[in-house]
Amino acid sequence: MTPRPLNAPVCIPVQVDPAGEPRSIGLPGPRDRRRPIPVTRVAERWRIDEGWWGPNPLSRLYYRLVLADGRLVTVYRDLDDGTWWAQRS
Amino acid sequence: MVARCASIGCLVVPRFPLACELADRPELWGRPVVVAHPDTPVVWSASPAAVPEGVIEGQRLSEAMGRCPPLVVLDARPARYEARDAAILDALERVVPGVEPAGLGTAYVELASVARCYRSPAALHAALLGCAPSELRPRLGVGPTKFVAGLAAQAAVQGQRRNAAPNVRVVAQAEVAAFVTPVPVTALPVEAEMIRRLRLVGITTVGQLAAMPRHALVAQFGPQGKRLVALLDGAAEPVRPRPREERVRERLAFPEPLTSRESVLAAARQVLRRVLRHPRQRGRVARQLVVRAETEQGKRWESKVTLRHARCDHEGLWVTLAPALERASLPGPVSELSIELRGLRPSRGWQGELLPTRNASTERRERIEEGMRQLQAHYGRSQVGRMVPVEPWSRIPERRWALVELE
Repeated sequence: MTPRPLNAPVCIPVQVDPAGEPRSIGLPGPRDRRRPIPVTRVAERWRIDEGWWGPNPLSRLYYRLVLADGRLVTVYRDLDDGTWWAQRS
Repeated sequence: MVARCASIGCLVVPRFPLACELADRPELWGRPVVVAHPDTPVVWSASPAAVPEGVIEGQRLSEAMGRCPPLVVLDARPARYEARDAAILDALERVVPGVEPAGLGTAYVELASVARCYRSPAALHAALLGCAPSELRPRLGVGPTKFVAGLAAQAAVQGQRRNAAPNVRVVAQAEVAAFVTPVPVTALPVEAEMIRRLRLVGITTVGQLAAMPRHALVAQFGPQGKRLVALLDGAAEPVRPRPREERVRERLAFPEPLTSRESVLAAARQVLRRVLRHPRQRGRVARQLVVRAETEQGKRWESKVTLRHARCDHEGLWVTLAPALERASLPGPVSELSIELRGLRPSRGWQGELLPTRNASTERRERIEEGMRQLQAHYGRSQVGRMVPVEPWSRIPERRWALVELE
């Protein structure tokens, strides 16, 4: 078994408001449960920039979101390509 | 026929580091290219197109780039060159029993014992040349001594015999004097300082050197001169095959290079478990461990650990290996890690407990191991993993922990 990282991010669909903040997200899981869940509020927001001195820079804007069903999830937007990812933090 | 007239072969890949790089980047053929030395900023290997511009091996890189502005400078990847060289030696050993390595890209082979196994000398030569990938453009020289074979290999392209392959040069015993006389002294396998001194006194060819009184050469150059005299007198140096030692090696490559020492240690533990599970290692103990780390740029770090007692238990080996890794100054992020066990010999038995105590935890462990074996038998590979900390302090969640195979 090749060592593989835990907590690898999963690409998710996210709808954003005009300010670029997440409005609803589709969490990873079975297809029938992938309907968008509205975001109630953004609990926390932080940015990570790493490796900008090397060949593989990394720039992410993390959000800890409270969803309409009460769940607390962590997602981030990849600032290089604009994609959204869900991740356990 | 080979045995009668020329019994030693020399397979040479000229400018081996450069040849390896050009094999990977064929678009650079014909352009002025150099490979930088891995340790000092000097030219290690220069392409023929760079030489007319004044670029020579051993020159400082800044000077070489000044002399030849379109010069392409490549970083050396010693690990890759050594792997290619080892592959060539292994292939040669499948053709002839006696193979003596003589630096990167050069090997002497003893042909007398295998000459009869081949239809013709040409078939034998083709088999030897086939041991090196054709993109490296190997050359083969055959002669009665190692010295002559080495010179013949260098001259393989310039002068060929009729009906010979373009990169093979065979020098029979009767032709040695005529062949060696015009060879420049720079081709002699002696120190550069000796060649410099010879040229200072106007000796530029081997023919001129051979005309010198032997005692004068010995008096001038000491032991080196004595060896030179032996070469000129045609003394036969036997091919000394490399010692055959059974080794077991396992490696682990990482798609994302490891930057922290903790992750390197975790990976080393994993590789050590793998190598101890190797089928050829079972029932045997090792006397020496060699751990190697390679970076993406092909730079290499290596440490050799000799054990006080030959052993094969994971914890015992790890106690010896871990300090070497902890104090290592690695050349960069590690993209590949390998561990080699050397000096393998059958285990003479290990006196443990005569009556091992069985308790609940032992039985539980045995049940877990049995379950894992069944899973492995069913799925073909281990399905049970163990979490190991890689960079627990990292701000990037996926870099904190990794899943490795559970023993």
